[in-house]
Amino acid sequence: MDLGLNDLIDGKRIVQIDADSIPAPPQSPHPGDHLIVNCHYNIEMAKPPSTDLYDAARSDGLEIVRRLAEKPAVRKFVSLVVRVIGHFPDPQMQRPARRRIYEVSVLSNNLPTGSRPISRADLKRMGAVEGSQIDDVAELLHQTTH
Amino acid sequence: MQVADEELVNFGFSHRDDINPATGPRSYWFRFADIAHLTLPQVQAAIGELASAGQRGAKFMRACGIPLKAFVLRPGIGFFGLDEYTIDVPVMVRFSIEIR
Repeated sequence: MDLGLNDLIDGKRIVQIDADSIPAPPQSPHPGDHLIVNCHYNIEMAKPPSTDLYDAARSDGLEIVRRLAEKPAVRKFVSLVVRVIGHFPDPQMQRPARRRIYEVSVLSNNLPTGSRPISRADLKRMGAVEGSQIDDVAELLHQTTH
Repeated sequence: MQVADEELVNFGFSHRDDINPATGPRSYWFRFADIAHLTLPQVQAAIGELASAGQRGAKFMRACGIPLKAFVLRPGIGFFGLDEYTIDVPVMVRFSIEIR
């Protein structure tokens, strides 16, 4: 699904953005199709401190929400989920571990209008839910650098 | 071979007798009933392609061979609401099945 996000893929920080329409689990209180966007960070981004990584991922995640909120086609979905996923190498492991550095979920009815950046107050107004595997990320970064 | 709704499953490139992740100690699992209605690409997108759970290009579903109570439940974030179950020890696989 092409949602016009390709210009965010700079190969240095963001290497891939995928968007898919996914039906909710059967018991979900929000049945219907949800739009899930997975944004993958370059493995080179896996450097401490984890707080800087989180801040960068949050900024990118909210920029994706802002852009998608401008597209009428996105509002037909029940909700929008944007995840920024990090790839964390460990010399003792065969493949990098992957963790969600930042995740935000917004009901489509509550997506903002207008094109200004999304603030904390906007997120509260939207009833957005933010999450992260930042504890795992911090642990993986610690293993990578020690 | 059948998978009950309450059984945990994950996805990967190959048949396995046990899951001992090559990417770290933790593996991620999902209730079969929560993902049974999805295609494999949808499962991978829903999971977010977490290694040791739903790698891109996965061809096999593995059914967990140990009880659900051994796992930590991590409720799904937000409105999509796919719950995850994690464990930090190797997991015996009851069976692996190739999927298309």
